[in-house]
Order: sequence, then structure tokens, then C-alpha cells
Amino acid sequence: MANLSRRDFLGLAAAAGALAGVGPGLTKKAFAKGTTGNPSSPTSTREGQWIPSVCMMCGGSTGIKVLVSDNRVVKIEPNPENPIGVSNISTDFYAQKAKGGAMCPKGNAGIAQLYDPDRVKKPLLRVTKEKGKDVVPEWKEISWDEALDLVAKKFKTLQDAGEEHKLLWFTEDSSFIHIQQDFCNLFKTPNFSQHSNLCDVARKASWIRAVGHDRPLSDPVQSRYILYFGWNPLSAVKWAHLPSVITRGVQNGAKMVVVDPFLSMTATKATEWVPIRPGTDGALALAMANVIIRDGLIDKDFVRDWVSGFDEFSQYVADKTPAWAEKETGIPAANIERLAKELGTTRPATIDFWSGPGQHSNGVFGGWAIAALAAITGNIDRPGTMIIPDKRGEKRYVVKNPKISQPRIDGLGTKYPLGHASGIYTEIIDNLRTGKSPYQPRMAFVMAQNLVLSVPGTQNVIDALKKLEFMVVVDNFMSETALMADLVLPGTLYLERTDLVGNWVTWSTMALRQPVVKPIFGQLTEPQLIIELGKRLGLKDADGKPFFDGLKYEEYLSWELKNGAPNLTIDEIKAKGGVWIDTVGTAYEKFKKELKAEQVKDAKVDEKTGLIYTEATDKDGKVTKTVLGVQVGGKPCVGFNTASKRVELANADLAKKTDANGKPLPTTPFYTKRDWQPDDKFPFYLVNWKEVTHTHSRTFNNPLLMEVQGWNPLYINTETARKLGIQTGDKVIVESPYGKAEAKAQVTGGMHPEVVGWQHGFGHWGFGEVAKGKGTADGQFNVTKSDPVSGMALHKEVCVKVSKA
Amino acid sequence: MDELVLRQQMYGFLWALFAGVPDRSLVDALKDERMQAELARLLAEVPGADRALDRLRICSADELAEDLAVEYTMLFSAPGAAHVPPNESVYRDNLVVETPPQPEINYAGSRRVFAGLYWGDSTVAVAGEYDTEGYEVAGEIPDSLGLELGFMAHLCGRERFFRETGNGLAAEACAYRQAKFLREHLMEWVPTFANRVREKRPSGFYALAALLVLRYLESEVGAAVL
Repeated sequence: MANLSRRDFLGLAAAAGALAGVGPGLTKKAFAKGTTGNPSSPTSTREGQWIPSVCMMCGGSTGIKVLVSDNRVVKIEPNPENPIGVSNISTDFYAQKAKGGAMCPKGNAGIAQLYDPDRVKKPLLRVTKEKGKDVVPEWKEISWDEALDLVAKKFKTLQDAGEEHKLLWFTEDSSFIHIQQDFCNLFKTPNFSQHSNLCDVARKASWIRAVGHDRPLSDPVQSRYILYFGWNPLSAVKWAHLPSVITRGVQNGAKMVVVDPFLSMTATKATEWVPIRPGTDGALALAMANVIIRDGLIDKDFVRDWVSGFDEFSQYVADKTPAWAEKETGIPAANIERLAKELGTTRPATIDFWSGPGQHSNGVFGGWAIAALAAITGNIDRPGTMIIPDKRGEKRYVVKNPKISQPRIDGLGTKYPLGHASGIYTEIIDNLRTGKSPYQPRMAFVMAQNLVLSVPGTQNVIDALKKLEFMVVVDNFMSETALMADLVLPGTLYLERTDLVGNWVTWSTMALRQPVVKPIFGQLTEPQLIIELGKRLGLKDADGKPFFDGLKYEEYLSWELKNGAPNLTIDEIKAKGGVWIDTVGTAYEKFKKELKAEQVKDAKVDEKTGLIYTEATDKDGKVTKTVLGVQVGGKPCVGFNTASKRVELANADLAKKTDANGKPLPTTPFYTKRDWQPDDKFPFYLVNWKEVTHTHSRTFNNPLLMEVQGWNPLYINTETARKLGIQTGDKVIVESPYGKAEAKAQVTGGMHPEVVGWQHGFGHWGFGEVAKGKGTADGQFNVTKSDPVSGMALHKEVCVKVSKA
Repeated sequence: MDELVLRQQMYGFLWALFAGVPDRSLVDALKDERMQAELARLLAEVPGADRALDRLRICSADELAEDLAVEYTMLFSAPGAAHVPPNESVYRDNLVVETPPQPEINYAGSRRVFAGLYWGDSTVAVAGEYDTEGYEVAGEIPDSLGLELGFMAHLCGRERFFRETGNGLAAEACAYRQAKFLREHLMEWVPTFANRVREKRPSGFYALAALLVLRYLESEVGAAVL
């Protein structure tokens, strides 16, 4: 009965019109008042309005300008007024910004992320009871009010039972963190955890041991010698200015040496690539220190004045010779000698490492050994070295928090002695799965985290999440974790919301991320959602005052900004183009800054250590000692933020602590083999990495990025592949004790012969129609485990066998 | 004038089908025997229609509300293998990414075309039409099927108003805009959309609903007045 005439529909139209509530009368919804797009501080052009903001295709937070025309984002470009994307050194920033900023492919692909038809649009309530990798769940769209009421009702059962601590909260670490922390504090759950644990907490633990700051920044543009261990900043671009500052450093004459099992993009641009066995970077660093100390190439003045524990360290490395290290690392002893001598005789040098050395069970102390190289050569907080950022920003919103009586379930600060405040994901997940923790969590709130693909041990994560009686996931896509949820709430993208960003450069600057379009599905922003939930739960501060009632997120941020270093309101920073830059630029040798006379007038100096301190006695006669700084060269200096106020190469107090395996911690930088070594059954190290094309596991539905990098082949060394009868393009089987899957081989001379590896983030079975079925997921081959010291997830401590399929 | 009322009612009904998860008034409407008879008359010959129409008859209103809510969600709301975005731009528009040549590095430049995204040129065009006609939307992408059908109902309502108030010129202009919007927008993508819905869930209610929309739009195109 096709080819109907309009007359044929008269009956239906009449039937529809005769029924109450259906028809034109119902179009109230369609006629509802509303507006679209309300950008702030734009620059209007004929093309539209250019709005300054901050990218968040990754956490690097590049400064961007967004062109909005007819309420639609049509172009995104770098904003050279924001240091992120120009330079991490203030003088270089001012010299370079007229040439423009930089932005990576992900930033360029932001439009496709915003307008992706696979985005979650509405709150989705799970209909299917079963959960698991092979379950394709059914969902029912519900209203925001229904969704918030449901979450509040569920969380209220925890409150009623006095089990608030049984709520787990996971979030990424770059957006609206404070208000989430406030929610957890006021709800009284201690189990607030952030993404850092899956990223760089081993590096943080290593550097904080050495210099008292967990994120010193490399300054390659002013350097003469660039030595990077397991870091690929030309492709795994943490900050968009890194390729520029590094390549300009090399163009200026610096030698760049990259230590990595894989010939990464950075290694291809280096003067020298040093292929190394995974997890042995610490051994290389110690052997280089051995040579530098043996040959008297240390920075004697710096070591004398500013290094604590040098003698203990020297003693420890005395037998860590290049010949010893050759056996561990596979790097010829002669090369180690040469590299050490180059480093010892070239100043300034910048010596850094990231996830490569860190994501192994020996990562923290190996990383400390790398930091020690910087210390003994005096390459700290000086131009061209490792700069300790002067990162002042917003003031944390002040909330009087009620007391939380229950401990976290992840052993942060107890089982993991040098753990980071972001928590220990693997411990949480494994405790949830096995029921080993003192109490069993009941519910979880997951904010923009794909735990299933991001935490090592995919099946363990799935099994763990099944144990929860209620899980809410807020995400832009139906991630593999969202597919396990009871309720999925649509998130916003960075182009749809407001936030403050503290820039990771060497001096103080902040930027405003502002919505350039309204949330395109009319969804609540994440802070709004938290406020609404907090109101429904009636969360109160320690004084019994309802905290979330009447709270507006922009006012909250404005308070933080106004009371912090910028001393600006949100409107004022908008008027300044959305960026605040401290007029005090990059400062060097900040450790030498002298204490003021009034600060030290009542202070004493410890003759042995040089520590400057004051003492106060309370009414019970208890004496409290406050260390102010350190006396060096007869001057009272602020020193470093360590116990000794110097760079530390030994710390006796560490011996009082034990790691997660119950072993006492070493007291100096230290090398021991990582726990999981290749054997006859699983003979290859399996490593993973990131490239500029993707972020974590969350950009894989972006058609622009998938065109650039749409698969993650398994890279295999040419000779290794020959022995296995494998050629490029062959299907291969990758197997570990925990997982087995197919992959596509890519044979290359740029891979260590004992190692195979691939890019992280692929292998989705959910997430979106573009992402699905592309490449191989790497977490399935691993066990859900962390390094026993910092709790860093062990993404790279895996051994596999590989065979032709 | 009666015909205009019926057209407005028809578009209003179609809007209600695609405006979101069905509310109770729509479910009650679908449970109405006269409505079911009309749907059967118009669609009974469609393969699989009997099952979908039986569902309307057999299920209680509560069961039907739940069933339709899940079906609507899986097709039009929840991303996944069954998802058929009900938005014009997904079927019509391209995102063009052009990189200019850079002779200094021997790069010839490139032009890549990506289809299937929200907020394409047609979305902007649709939003422009809405602005012109005072049709305000919030919290939704303007080119959704529900909003476009609601816009047609809105235009019918305006045409009625102009005719009732003796403003013939404005009424003719409004009729013209309906024809234009129908041809330039709805008919440009609803055929593909209806096919896609049928492919994903052949025996579902919304395969019939999408077909109903398509057949009505075709009848509108065929009507002499347009």
C-alpha cells in the first residue's frame, strides 16, 4: 500500500487529534523557550566568534581559540597567549608567542569528538541484569530528575546504614576535581581516587624523594644535553609545546639521547637511540653514576652544598659498573661509559623519565637513580636542566569537612608507603573482586574513567565491577565500563563546560576553560550534576550547614581564583582573554633564595646538617621543631622541600617503612630486577605506549584520529620475527598467563629483540561504532597489580609469547 | 481549513512519536482502537507489521510504555550497534578537513571528508529556518526528526492563524515554507533513516513509525497544494 495520498492519512490524523494530549497541544515541548550558545569574552569576526579556552582532548590542557559560527564550533586553533602550546620557560614563551602556538592532532580533531553521533545523550538506565564482556545490555532513557533521584535514593541507603565509606569514587584528574572531593568528604567516603595512579605516580614518588617536588619539568630548549629515559614527548605529547622546545633545543646544538626499548618518534629525532631491556633503566642510571663519580665528573660545588646522602649513594654505586649494567640492560658497557662521560662533561643537561621506567615493580627506586644523575651533575633548577615549577594557582575552596572514621580500602600511605593521593586503583579493584579489604564496597561513581580498559587485568576489572550493587558512570561514550553500569549519565566535553586549569609550565599561570557552546544534548555539566546530587542527599559540612544548597559552580571557581595567586574573578580572567600569567617568570636556583632576617631571628642552626629551625614548647613541655631552611655558604637559604632541605640521595628514615610485600625500603636509589621476568614459556617483554594520535582509551571513536592511527600493530624486532616466521601484516597470537588474543604484526628494526610492544587504548568492544573491533586491548594480558612502593599500576610489567596465527 | 487542522494534527502525532521516549499520553493514544485500526490500514501489508501492531493491542499500557521506551532508547538514544541517530546532519553532511600544501617540505596538501556527524551544515540551515519562524528549541540538536516534524506542525499552525486572521499573503508564504522545508530537509534524509531503522529492528514498532513518517511525507510531497 505504498504511494499513499494525503487523503489516506485523514483517518489517522483525526484519530490522533481526537485523543487527549496528542497532537498540536503536545507541542509545548517543541515550543519550549530556550537559547543556544552564550560564549564569553569572544572576539567577533566575519567568520564568527573566536573564543579563548583550554583543550582537554588530553590532560595537557593546551591553550586554544575556538571559532563558533551559528552556535556551531567550526574551527579550533592554538592560542599563543597561553603558555601551554608555546613554551614551558617564560623568556622563551615571550620570545616565541608571536610565532604562534602549537596544538596536536587530537586538539585539531576536537570538533569530531564534540559532534560524534556515538556520544551518550541522555541518562540511560540499565534494563539487562547480566553484566560481562559478552553481554550487550539494553537501556532505557530516563529524565535527569529521575536519574538524580535514583542515584540519591541508592546513596541514601548507604547513609542510612552508616556505610558511606562503601561508596567508591573514580575520576580523571584534570577537571572539576575539588567539587568532587568536597562531595566525597561531605558524604563521608574516604575512597576518592583519581587517574594519576594509572599514569605517573612512580615518577612522582621518585622525584619527590630526590628534590621534594613531584613534577619537575624538563627544560630542553636551553639545554646542551638531553637525556630521556622511557619518554616519547615528540609523540606522546603531554604538553603541546614539548615538540617545539625539544626540537629547538636540538637545533641549538644539544645532543639528545633517548633510552627506550622502542625506536619511538622521539628516538628517531634523537642524536642517539639506546635500546634497553624494559625495567632496567635504574641499572643504567646507577652505572652512569658510577662512572661520573669514579672519573670526578660530578658538580662538586652543587654536591657539596646541595646534595644530602652523596657518600651513601657513592658507596652503593661503587660496584654498579658498566660491565654489571650491561648484563642487566643489554647495553654494551663501552656505550654506558661513553654516555656517562658525555653527561658528566656537558652542562647544562636535562635528565628526565616518565612512564617507561616507572610502570614496573622496581620503578620508584630506579627513577630515583635517574634523578640522582641530575643531582650529582648539578642539573637541577638551573637553565637547561630539570626545573622545579613555581606553580601557584587557585586557592582550594574552603569547606569544613566532617570526620571520616573508616580507612580507605587501598592501603594508600600504609601498605604503599610512597603512594600518591590519587589512590591505588589496582588495590581497590582487586579488593573489590576478592573481598580481601576490611569492608566490601557496595557502590561506585565513575567519572570519565574507563576502568575496564585502563586498569591492568581486564577480566579482573570486569569481575570486580560485577560485585557492585550499583554503579553510575558519567561519560561521553558508552565505554566498556559504562557497559557495566547500572546508570549511565551523559558527560560534557571540554567545549561545553567551565573549569580552571593550572598550567604545567615552570612559572605560575592559569587558564579558564569556558563553554563555547551549551551542552549539545541539554545535559547537566558534571559540577551541576554533583551539586544537584549533593542537594538531594542534604550533604552538610562539619557545622551542619547544607553545603550544596544554592551553590553555583562559577561562583565557587571565582572564589578559588580570587583568593588564589591570580586574585581575579572569573569575569576578570575572561576579560583578560581567559589566561592569567604571573609577571614573575621562570625563576632558577630557587633553593638558594635567602630567608628573611625576621624569619631567622629566633632560629637555631644544626651544626652537623646546617638545618635552620625554630623550637616551640607547648604547655605539656612537648617541643616541636620547625625547619625553615638550610645554612649554605654562610647564608640562610630556603633549600629544597625535602627533610634535609637538600637534594636527597639517601634517607635513613625509609628503612623504617616496608613496601606492599613487607620488605623494608632501600635508603638510597636502588636497582633490583623487576618481579616478572621472561622465561621459556613467555619469553618476550610486552611494553605499551601512547602516541600523539590518541589519549588513554577515550579518543578511539574519533574518525579523524582513527584515520591517522586506526590500529595498534604489535611491533616485533626483525630478527626475532624471522626466527618466529612472522612478517609484517601477519596475524599473530599473543599470549600471557592471563590472556590470549590475536594481533597484527609489524616487523621493525626499531624494537629491542627481546621485546614486543604496541600503542595503548585500542581493542574496544564498546565505546562507539568507529572504535569497536580495532586493534588489540593490552590490559587483558596483565594481572591487576601495582608497584609495591608507590602503587603505580604495572602496565608494562608483562611477559608474553608470540606465535604466527 | 479542515485539511490544515488535520495536517497539523498529523504532524503533531508524528512529532509525538519521535519527540523522545513515549510519554503516557502517546501510549494511551496507541492503545486506542481507532488509532490501531488506522495504523493497521496504512501499514498492515508491511512485512512484520502484524507483530508490531499486535504488540500495541496485546500489551497493557504499562508493558507497552516499558517496551517502547527500551526500543526507542536502543534505536535513537543509546549509542551501540542498534543506534540510528535521528538527526538530519548524520545522513547528509560532511566535515571537510583541508590541509594546505607546504611546498617547503614537499607536501601537496590534503582534503579529507568525514560523514555522519552532528551539527553539520543542514543543522545550521534548519536552525536558521526555526529562527525565522519563531520556533524555539532548547537542549536538543535542532535537526532531530522530532523537532523537524514539530516544526512542520508549527508551520501548519501558523498558516492556520494567518488564514483565520485574513492574512492570505502570509499564509501562502507559510505554505511555501512548509513545502520548501519538506523538500530541502525532511525528504532529503528520512528515506535513508527509515531504511536504517528497519535494518536495525525490522519487527519493531519504530520501523513502522519511521515508515509511517516517510509515507506521510511522500503524500505531502505528492499533494497538489505543495
